[in-house]
Amino acid sequence: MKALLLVLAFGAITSVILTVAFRVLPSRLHATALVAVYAVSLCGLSVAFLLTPPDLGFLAGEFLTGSIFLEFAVTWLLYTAGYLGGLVQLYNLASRGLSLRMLIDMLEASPPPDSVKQVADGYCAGRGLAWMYEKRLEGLDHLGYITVHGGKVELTKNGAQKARVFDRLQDLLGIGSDLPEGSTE
Amino acid sequence: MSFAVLTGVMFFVAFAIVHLAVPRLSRNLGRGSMAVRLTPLFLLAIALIILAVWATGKTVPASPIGAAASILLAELTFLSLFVLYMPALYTVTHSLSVATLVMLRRSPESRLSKARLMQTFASQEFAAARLAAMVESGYIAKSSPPYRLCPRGKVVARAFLWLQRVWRLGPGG
Repeated sequence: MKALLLVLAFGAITSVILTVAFRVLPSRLHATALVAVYAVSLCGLSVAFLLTPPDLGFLAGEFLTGSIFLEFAVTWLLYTAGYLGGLVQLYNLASRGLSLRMLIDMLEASPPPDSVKQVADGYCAGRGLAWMYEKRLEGLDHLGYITVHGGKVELTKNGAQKARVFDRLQDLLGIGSDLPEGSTE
Repeated sequence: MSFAVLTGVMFFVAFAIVHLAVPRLSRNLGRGSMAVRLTPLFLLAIALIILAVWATGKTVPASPIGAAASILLAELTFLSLFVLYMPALYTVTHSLSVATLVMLRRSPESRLSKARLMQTFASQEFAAARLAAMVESGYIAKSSPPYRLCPRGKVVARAFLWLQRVWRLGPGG
């Protein structure tokens, strides 16, 4: 129970810090802020855990695990899950979620889109799906996974390594892929 | 309490095995809807297992409050692992960037025309498929135009629109 209370307290503090960081920093620094806040807050949480008594001065005996190592591991697990599975996922969805953006476009559209073409062209307040995909390609190019030259997109060595890992994972999961015409696979 | 953590971990392992294996055997079962259906069942099973062990008087604290705390800890352990697992899986199965890398890898010489990629990931066919998936998930009222949001879709869209404004994220997408 100590783990849960500490994680809730640090989660609340972290949410406020991240909100301020997102509002103040340019979007290109958001990913750095997410990593930095996680690292610093996890250190702070660990220190707080070690400096506070197992019962936090008020918890009844039934709420104690009896093992400081177990309680510490649970504290890390709960916090990491809340941060990476909660805050970071919310950020990813709000900043890049494709289906979510379609829902927001429909919410804001008046009258509602009357064709698939209107949905595709009106994506992200009129920027269009092509804009969205250009942004994805730019991101992959920036990370050094692909190169784009003269209308051709090619995997780099680094990108090929990443692609191999994801390809194997998709095979493992039994996911089919949309293979291009002329593909040998 | 260590029994509670162990129970949460073991139930998550069982969940992951079922969640990964069953859609491989039956293509009619989507992983997203399966997770939604399976999770409450696993949470219920965790509670029942801990109550059963508590009734025997072993491993779980004797008081009802201690048993309730054990159930809470086991379920939080399960849910923590769940919220780390689902986004990781979703990245492999649904990310456009990952799909692009894999498509390039499976193409001759790991190279494709930009037009071909655009046709796959930014076309009207692509949008239609996404719309169909959102109809199936209950966010959009029907698969034919005009497209209107269901109450569930409105709640999600408004919540994230609010979050985008609070975090000043811009339009997203």
